[in-house]
Amino acid sequence: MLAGANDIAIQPLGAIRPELLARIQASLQNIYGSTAAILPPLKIPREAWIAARQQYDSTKIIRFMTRSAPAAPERILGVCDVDLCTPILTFVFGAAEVGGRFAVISLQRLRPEAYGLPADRLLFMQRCAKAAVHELGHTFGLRHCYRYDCIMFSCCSVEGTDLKQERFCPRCAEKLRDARKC
Amino acid sequence: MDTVGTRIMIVDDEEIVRVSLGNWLKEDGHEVMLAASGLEALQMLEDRICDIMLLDLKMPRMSGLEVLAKVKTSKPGIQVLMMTAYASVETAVDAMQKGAYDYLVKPFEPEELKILIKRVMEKQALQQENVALKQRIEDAFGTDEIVGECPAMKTIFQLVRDVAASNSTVLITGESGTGKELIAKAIHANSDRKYMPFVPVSLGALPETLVESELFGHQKGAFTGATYARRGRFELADGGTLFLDEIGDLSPKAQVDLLRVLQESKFTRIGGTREVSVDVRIVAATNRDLRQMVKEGQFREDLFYRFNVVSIELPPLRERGDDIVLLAQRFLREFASKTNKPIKGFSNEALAIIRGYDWPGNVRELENAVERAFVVVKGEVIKSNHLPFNIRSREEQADSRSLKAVEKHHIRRVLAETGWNISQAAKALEIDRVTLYNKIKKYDIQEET
Repeated sequence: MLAGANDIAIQPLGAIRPELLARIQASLQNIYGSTAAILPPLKIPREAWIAARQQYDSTKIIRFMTRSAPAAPERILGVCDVDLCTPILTFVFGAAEVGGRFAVISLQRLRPEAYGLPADRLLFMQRCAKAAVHELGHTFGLRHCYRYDCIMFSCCSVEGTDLKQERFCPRCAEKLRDARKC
Repeated sequence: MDTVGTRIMIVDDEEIVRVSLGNWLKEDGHEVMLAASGLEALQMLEDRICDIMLLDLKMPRMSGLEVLAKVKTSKPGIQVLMMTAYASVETAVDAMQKGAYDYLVKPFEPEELKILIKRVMEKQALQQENVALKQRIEDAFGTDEIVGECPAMKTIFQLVRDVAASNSTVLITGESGTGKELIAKAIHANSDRKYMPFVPVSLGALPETLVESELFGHQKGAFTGATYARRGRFELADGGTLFLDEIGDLSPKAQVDLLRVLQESKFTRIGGTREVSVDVRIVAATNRDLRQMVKEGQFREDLFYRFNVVSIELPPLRERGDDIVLLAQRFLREFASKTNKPIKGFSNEALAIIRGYDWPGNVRELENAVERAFVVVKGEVIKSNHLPFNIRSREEQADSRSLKAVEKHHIRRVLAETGWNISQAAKALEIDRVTLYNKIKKYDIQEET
């Protein structure tokens, strides 16, 4: 557990199963050494819907969170179960403000069933936890890491997510410590 | 290849596009600049540096293609990736013709953009490396790198610059160790062929049976042991310069083979049937008297005239006056720069010996002598006793004709060996200290500094 606890809040966007939120909460508390409260759920904003693509715009969701978030938590991670994209990218697993306060992850593409594979609850929850730790890492100013086993490694496929560990490499851990000192 | 830290400018009139793409690129560690129009982008480029521009094709007022044309004129180093929501072959071709690196159709896969950025950065790194390597070639082989202040060398430097521009064959003569290969490299480096290969081949070091294969290559199975086809030095030097060293050692058969290539610029690999044409500039060198060899029938006259289009004769080091000291100091600096040894220079006596020696091995011998002294010296100054024995003894022999001279040299050497400890030196010489002081005064022996 890293020293220097700062408050983190998990913001469910739409209906998210409690056991999944608990798994994400446990990971964030374990990795960041912070209290990670689970906020009451909010509806996904209609403004983020892109009808032509049948997806939600992650940038607009983060903007919505900025407007509707409670003041207290230092960082807020949105969790939604819809497919996210940006106007320019076909999809994103998540998005974050680098060095900012807000991040969001999507569960849609983390399920093995999304790739025609049998359901695997544990694997799915592990992927969700990894995505949460990764996106929240960006809010601490961390950039993508070149080490494939570091949680900050950037991957455009779930296979890459499965390869990385649910922890920071020594270099990123040091950067995180430095960021939290500031 | 590390793409982290790349400066990327996003030019798009849609704010949400700029922000979302900017955030995504920041997560990858890139420095991001955002411009809402072509005009804003061009203004930003006046005082900011960017490596890659992600440029929207369709924007109000100034279109992406107009911005592209201006960027390619004013900042050609920036690689531009066009973004378009409307994929059309015409616009893509137009953009590429105007100098865009590639184009992306919105929305694109995250992986696609990552790979494209990586490719651009690799290209830019290669371009930068290419510029640096070209600079290194010019630095390493230009005449500026060759030490020479004496009139003979200055004339040679001018000749090198004059002949470099032509394609004429050059014959460099001079004693062994005078720097013939260095002059050949300088000719190459000053010519239009400088970025093509400089291929040296030392003919004297090759057994006669291998000369032909070495120069012209062979086909697989051409002779016993020719397991694979091999390109010869002529083919390797295609477009560049072939430096044929020690041509005086060529066998009569090799002379005939070489003459044919020089006449026709064509040859056939051993065991091959196809003629190979090459564009090679020949610079040849020898330490032997080719004219004399021609007279004695050891070297073909027609080949001699083929080589001897422009001739450069390098003077031996002993005839280059102060260049000897300049070279010694240059070598010392070079050795010092490669290690952490804090050597300041040579003592006056060491320099006098270096200047007075006749250097039969020329520059190569001088370099070796300085290296030897550099290795053995313990202090900051190279003294006479650090120089190789043959150089010191030559000096002593030349100077030691009288009994007085012998005594002076002997006392000086003992003093140097004892580090000018008068008591120890007097004991070694089996004389008392006062007598030693008197002799030092008499012969005006001074401690080296």
